[in-house]
Amino acid sequence: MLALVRQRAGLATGIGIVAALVIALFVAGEERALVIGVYTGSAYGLVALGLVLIYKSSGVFNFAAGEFGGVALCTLYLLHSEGIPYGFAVVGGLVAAMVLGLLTEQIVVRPLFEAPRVTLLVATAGVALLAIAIQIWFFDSQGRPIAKAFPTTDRVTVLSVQISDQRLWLIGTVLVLAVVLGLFFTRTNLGLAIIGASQEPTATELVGISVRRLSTFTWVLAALLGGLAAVIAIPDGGSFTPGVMTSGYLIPAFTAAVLGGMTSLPGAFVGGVLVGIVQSFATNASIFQDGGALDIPGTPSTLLVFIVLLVVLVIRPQGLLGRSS
Amino acid sequence: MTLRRPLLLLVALTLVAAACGQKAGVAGTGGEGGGDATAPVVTAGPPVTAPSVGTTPPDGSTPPGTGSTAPTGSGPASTEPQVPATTAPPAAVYEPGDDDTVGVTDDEIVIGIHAPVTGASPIPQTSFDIGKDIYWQFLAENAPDQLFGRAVRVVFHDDEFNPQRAVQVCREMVEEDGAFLLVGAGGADQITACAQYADEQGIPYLSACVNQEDLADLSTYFATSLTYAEQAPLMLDQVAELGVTEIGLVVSDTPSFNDAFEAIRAAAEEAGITIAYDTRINKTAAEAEQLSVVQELKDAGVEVVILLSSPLVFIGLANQGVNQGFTPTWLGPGVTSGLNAVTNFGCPGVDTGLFFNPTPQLDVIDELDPDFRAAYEQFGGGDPADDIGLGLWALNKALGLMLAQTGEELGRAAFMNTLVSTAGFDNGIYSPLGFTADDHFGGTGAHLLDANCEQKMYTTAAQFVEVG
Amino acid sequence: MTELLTRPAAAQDRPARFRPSAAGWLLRLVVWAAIAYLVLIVPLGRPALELQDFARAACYAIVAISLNVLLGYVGQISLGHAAFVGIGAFMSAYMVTVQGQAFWIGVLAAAAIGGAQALVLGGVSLRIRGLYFALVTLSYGLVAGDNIFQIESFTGGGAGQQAPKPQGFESEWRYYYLCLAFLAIVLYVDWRMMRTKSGRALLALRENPRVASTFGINVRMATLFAFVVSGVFAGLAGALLAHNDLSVSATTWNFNLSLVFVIMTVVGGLRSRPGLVIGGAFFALTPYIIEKIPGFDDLLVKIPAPFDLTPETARLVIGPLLLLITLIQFPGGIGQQIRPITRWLAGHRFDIHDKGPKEVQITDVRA
Repeated sequence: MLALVRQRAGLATGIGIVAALVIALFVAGEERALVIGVYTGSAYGLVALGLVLIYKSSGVFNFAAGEFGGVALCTLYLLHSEGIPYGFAVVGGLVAAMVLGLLTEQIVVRPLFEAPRVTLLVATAGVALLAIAIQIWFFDSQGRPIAKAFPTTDRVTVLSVQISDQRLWLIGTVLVLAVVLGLFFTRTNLGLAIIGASQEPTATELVGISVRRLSTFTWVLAALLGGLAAVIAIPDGGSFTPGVMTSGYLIPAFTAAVLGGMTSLPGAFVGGVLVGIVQSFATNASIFQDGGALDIPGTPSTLLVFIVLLVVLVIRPQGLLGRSS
Repeated sequence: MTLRRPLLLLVALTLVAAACGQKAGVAGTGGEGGGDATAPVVTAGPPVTAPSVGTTPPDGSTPPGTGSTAPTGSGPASTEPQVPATTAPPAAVYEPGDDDTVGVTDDEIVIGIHAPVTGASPIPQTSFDIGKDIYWQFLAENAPDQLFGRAVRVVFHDDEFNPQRAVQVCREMVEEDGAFLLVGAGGADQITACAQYADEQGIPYLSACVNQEDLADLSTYFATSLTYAEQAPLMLDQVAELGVTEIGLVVSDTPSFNDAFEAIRAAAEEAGITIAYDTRINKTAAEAEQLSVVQELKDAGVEVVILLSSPLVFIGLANQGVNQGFTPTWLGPGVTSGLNAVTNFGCPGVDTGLFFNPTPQLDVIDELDPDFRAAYEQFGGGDPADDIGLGLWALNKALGLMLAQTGEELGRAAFMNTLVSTAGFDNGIYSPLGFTADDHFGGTGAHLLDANCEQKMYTTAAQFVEVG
Repeated sequence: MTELLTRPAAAQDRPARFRPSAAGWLLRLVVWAAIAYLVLIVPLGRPALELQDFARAACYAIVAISLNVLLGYVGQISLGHAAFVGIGAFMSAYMVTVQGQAFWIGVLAAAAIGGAQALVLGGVSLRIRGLYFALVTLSYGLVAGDNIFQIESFTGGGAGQQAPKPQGFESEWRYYYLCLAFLAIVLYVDWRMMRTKSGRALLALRENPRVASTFGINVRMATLFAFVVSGVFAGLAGALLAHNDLSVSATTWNFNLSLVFVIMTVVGGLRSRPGLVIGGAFFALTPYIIEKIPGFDDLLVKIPAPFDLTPETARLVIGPLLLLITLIQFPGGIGQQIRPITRWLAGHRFDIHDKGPKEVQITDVRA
């Protein structure tokens, strides 16, 4: 009983922090930051889902999560510019992402199964850097245009922020996936097997489940998530540059995942939105501008995200929606 | 292993160098470029009393009260009009040091250029690699005596869009490659850093100008285009022409742009234009920040936004704007934002872009200098001429004129003395440049480029828009 | 019967401590001399700017040792080490250029601020562990680049701060020797530190913090101590790097560099000093090495479009490839691979199968 209360109390604290933030924003007159937070944070959240998935299953921070998406994006661009219809090009991109995920798992992760996690982090970083280098090689470091799948830009307007069809698809996808994956890991046999394999690999093998097959499945799924994030989110901006997924999305996604609780899939979305809100608030709030009361040298949003991260982790080391270990 | 934030493209290349002796039209007959280049110095030149650049186009009329263009108070006799190019400029502001003739031999002059090829704002390297040599190849074939039998060799290093690295590569170019003079292709901070180094070493350093503050005191620095601050009146004139009275102002948040920010605000006040919203945006603004700024601009309801930022931020803002139904005219002192690479992937947002640029675009270059395309056909190895190549061509042409004007006894001091004592340099592509001992900001005008998403390129909306 | 009750075998059954023969000593001496020649004499014949690269290699080695304290001894990942180094660089440049102090004061200030900063971060890490801590360091690294290094009065304007070489060490080769000397000092301090009780406590800590505390090791103090040492080394390296390059700007100290630092430390080999030095030096010298490969540029030009590569892009591609190959084949890093040689050089028997003490990874990165 007490444990239940404590668990609920944990969730309540998380919700409390979020509520306090929302109220503060309204008071400060920056409620639009909420909208922008959801707008941009959903992209971070989708990448974060892939990060959380890998972390839950193998304890690795998958540095290549961004570039799974990058590969999908490049493939989409290449196929589409060769005249292939957009839908097929998207599928092609997702397939490419999954192939990269498979290759990464087979070539890099398998041999390092027993290695320290920091070695794996560095190895996935190597994969990401290699993927980016290859993109630079082929695209000469230059950006490329990429059209939206759905051209309508003003389907919904919230607080004078127009939300395009593309963006609505992104938000929808993240929400659905977060819930589905959350249920997957708690209710389905396969999901539970994955968690089990990460915590007790020997026992899992003894029960007859192939840990290796699970690992492959997880990485391919994570790659698919990364690919989805890229092909849905990036075209909304109209263009991409080599390495954009890693330089623009990986670190906020990492922050989002940690804020939400590295073990919580819905938390990834919440974390993403939180990062988006903080970035937007920091950019617009006049107190942080030159001459304001709290004039922050350089970019206010970086400092504010850092402070929020520290505060959340100090108050709740397992993240907003994470379970305490 | 570069993993920089938005890998940007396009760095300003243009290095405007002074041309000597050419009037705007005459330069078009570049076929006899060799002969013309050694023509006498143009008589009309910019009045040099004031530090700010207020120049009149070389239309043949002598500017008021300035028969001579000698640097004030420098002592020796000023250059007379019609002085033949072969005599050394008499004004001796610069004394030769021990390394005065580094990079100069009987056969060769070495020029060092640094530019970002990797890092936050990379140029397409292939364009650069080809473009940097074409003018010199052309010159060697068509006017080998212009430089007194010397060929020019260009060495190039990547500065990775990092000022610390820029100083490094500048040192390398001087100490290892033996560069005679240095050129900065782009990136205000890198240019400032390398210019400081060059100044300490007494090496001539030229670049398309960006900021003014940190460069104004350097004695070996020469700006080959208008600074951002100098372009402020031009921009505000354009605003007036667009018929609006309220604008937005977005400038990247880097100390180098402080003087530009202030200058634009001052110019707006003078012109009676209200700045409804202004902000200093992060150099590498993420989507959330771009969107926030766009929302604020939209709230302010402006139809024109003056923008001073990297091309990637421009593209981001413009496209976020399109998503939000906000499509103002984006006006700015471009250089990098005015490159076709931007229209290659920035459309549809960038369609309303209007940028000033030291060089015009490819659509008018044939009238100004038919040699350009011809040279590319001959020496370009099959690659089509592009606007980066054009920037390099113009730069090199100007450099060629400056080197020729210095004469056979080529040394760093002589070169710089020539720069400050020659009335004007006009390569026909840039607005004419003029330097004096007090004012090393040689730009006098710019061209206005208009983005065109249908053709996926920039077109030249106005040529030789000049200050004052 | 009584034999069974006799005491276990006495000391004579323990294998005698290995002592190399005279020939063995001589051979080791020759190899040491060769190494010394390579490191100390050969660079002098190179042009001055190359010595700058070598000095940088020595500084990177110091960074690797610094990062190893966190990564290898404490077991915490720092993804923001560029900030530690950068703040030392700026501090030294500031002291020398703005405050007009001597180089040595600058170095001292740099080491001090590096240590102080690390101490604060270490305090934070006491509550936040593993991957979460990694993110905090990453975020801190970004804050350093975006905020701390943008304080104009401290770091100069956009073009950065100047950092002239110290008096008496203006020439490149002298500065190189200076960096080598500092590297030697850092190596020595690191070695002594790990032989002390606190040092051994650290290693115990990494394997199992709870057990360590039952042995009376003050977990907190040991961790904080490690952080401070790491920060001091990093700040020192920063100062040396600043004066090597003659200028410091904020762009250098970015996340990419932090990543390079982690990569070079892991590839060099955690807890292996020779490996760390080689790893750091190698990564600092990679552009130099690639440039020097004869015919490399020509080879690149021969590749047909659209596959043609520039040297810069080639570097970008080769680097991660090498990294992946090294990691997959040699997870223990270079240090582990050369362990037979380094042990031999230290006077032990040459044992090709020596892979170092078996590591027990219990609490790794999981939160």
